[in-house]
Amino acid sequence: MSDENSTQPPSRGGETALLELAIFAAKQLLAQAPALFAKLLEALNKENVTVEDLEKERNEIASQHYKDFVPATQIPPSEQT
Amino acid sequence: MTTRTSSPRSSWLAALLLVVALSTSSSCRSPVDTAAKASKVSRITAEEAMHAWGAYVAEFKPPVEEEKKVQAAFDRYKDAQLTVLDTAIAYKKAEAAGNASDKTAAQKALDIATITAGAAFTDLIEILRGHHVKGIP
Repeated sequence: MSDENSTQPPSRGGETALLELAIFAAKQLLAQAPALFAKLLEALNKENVTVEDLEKERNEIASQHYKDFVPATQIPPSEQT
Repeated sequence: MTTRTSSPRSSWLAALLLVVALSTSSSCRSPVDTAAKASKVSRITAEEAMHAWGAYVAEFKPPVEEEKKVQAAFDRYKDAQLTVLDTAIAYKKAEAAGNASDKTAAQKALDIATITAGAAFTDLIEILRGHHVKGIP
């Protein structure tokens, strides 16, 4: 049986294992990164996605560049994408 | 090789990746809802993984060639995500217009784009894992 406070994922087969893994992952994430957990929950709860939702998501991704995440990059500016 | 511990924010990535994997297998009302959820959740995950890589680069200063590999993987992942969203938009527009043949074509394109994006996401994570960035399983 799984321990409520365990840091090891449960090991079972089938859908029960999948569900237990999801719960385990959610607990880990909630404990260690609550802001991210909230963002993920929002994303997963979204139903009936609209074209506007998709376009907004597209624009956000299109605006991202390697340098935004790696400000200390040593790649020459001329080779950055 | 010794595991390097560059970023405290990456310590929960294993759990996050599991949530991504589960999110792509969850049932939804439409293929667009499924693709949109998978796209959004994988984007959140990729962003956090890239932030962890950014902290790693600042601390350990890996060779530029290694950084270029990550940059290329990130760009492939980004392009694949944009294709998923473009095809999802095409699907929704075909659906709204009542155009069955366009909707069918868009769904096929969406299926392919989703698989491609999944592979690109996996490649990005695998490359970062190869650098032993802490928290990436």
